[in-house]
Amino acid sequence: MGVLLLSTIVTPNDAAAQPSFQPGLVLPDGQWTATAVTAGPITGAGFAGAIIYDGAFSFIVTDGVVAGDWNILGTSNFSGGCFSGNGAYVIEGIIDGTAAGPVLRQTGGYGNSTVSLCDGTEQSGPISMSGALTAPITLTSVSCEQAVGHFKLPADMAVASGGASSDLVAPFIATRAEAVLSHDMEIYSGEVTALTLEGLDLTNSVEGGELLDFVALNEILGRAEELYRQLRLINDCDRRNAGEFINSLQSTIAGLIDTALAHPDQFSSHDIARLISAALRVGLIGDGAADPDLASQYERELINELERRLDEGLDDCVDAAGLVVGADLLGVDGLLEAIQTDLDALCL
Amino acid sequence: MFIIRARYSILAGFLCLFGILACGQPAEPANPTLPAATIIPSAIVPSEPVITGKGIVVIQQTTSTENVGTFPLFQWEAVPGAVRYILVVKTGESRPYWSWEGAETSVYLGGGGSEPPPEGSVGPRLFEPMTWTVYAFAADDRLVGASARRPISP
Repeated sequence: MGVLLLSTIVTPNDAAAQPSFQPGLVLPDGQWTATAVTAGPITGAGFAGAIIYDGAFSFIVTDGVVAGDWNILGTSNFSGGCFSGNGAYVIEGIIDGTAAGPVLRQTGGYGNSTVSLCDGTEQSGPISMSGALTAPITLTSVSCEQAVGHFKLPADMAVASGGASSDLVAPFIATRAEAVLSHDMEIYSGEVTALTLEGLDLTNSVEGGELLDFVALNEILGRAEELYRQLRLINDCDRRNAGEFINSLQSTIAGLIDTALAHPDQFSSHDIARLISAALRVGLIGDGAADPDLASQYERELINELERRLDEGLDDCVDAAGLVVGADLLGVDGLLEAIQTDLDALCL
Repeated sequence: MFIIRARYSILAGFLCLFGILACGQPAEPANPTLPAATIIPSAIVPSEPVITGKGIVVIQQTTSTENVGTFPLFQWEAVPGAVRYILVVKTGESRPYWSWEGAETSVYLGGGGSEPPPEGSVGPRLFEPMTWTVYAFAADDRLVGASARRPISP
């Protein structure tokens, strides 16, 4: 998997494991607005810190051709021994390419950083921007109203702040302007960004070894659903299925599942069942998924995990109950029946 | 399941006997082909819970099974000791479609508030007859309730 990671640093091997462009995922014509939020560590000579990228994109698709512009704000904090600092910079550019393969191309950038030195003084100055980002966007889910995908921010993007450890993968969440009932794309996009940032915090904490805060997760899922109600159906494009939907937190849930599958000991069977529920809730898996191929991949991985846990042996009644609910959520009746037997034995 | 059995009326038989009607062989009562969207009356809604076990009560679902519109309100009776519920909606082919988790005992399809989503809005929607099931969990993650797989149609 490793398809829709938010903040996990992507090593070259991880980058190679991401799915390649899938034909059939095509942005319908119309005006679009998108957001992209990601974060990661930065390192430099004798210092370390973190950087957050917050991108805003506006483009039009006309007869399958994309045209528009974007900017990405990078804010960083770093420290090393007795000195510390922060930086903020903006890179901007155009977005072009086709509706099946949009591409980001940087045209400029500027920034400033401030460093507090060991002698107590401060130095500020412009950030020297080097390189020019050219990043193809990989689309993973497309409906008539929304699209989800990702693009790579290379490590040297953060060179102004010292340099990133590795490339970062930024989730790309796009909404068609015609779908927004209030017609206020700025407010809508701002709320999507806010939710994505909160999802990023959750993912970061889990990747740091903390238990997943399901209360916080369900809270943002509920807010995302409220936000979703501001969108109306646009039936001017071919849908892959009649009841498809895309929730803006799809990337967040995908990242959490990736983490759970990579570190299964950190998640109970009950946690897995709750993640399966969350994945259905955002249209990542199930018959509501706008990308059935991606859904099948995740469903298969989750079924494999349930089967693995069953093969290893169930610990107790709660463990069995988590698996049996997970099996029913995924619609695997044979697995549900197999676990039901264990449930009866463990829950005496 | 409604099964309509055709019967010859006594009148038709009388008319055939006297040649008033051109009647061929009496038609066999035919089992009609059921439409894809079969409506199941409440009287024969499944009541067997999807999951059974010690300490797992049967959750009573109270939402009507038919004519519920595109964004139905799923409702069920509270389970003693339950602090949260997980609901799953499945398609007519028993494929998972949507799910939700929360502490309440009701939720609109698609979630997002105490009012139904506006008609024509995106999100999960009841576009064909489906089924739904709800599970109840205690604070220690024990499964304390499970419902039947109840049908629902728009």
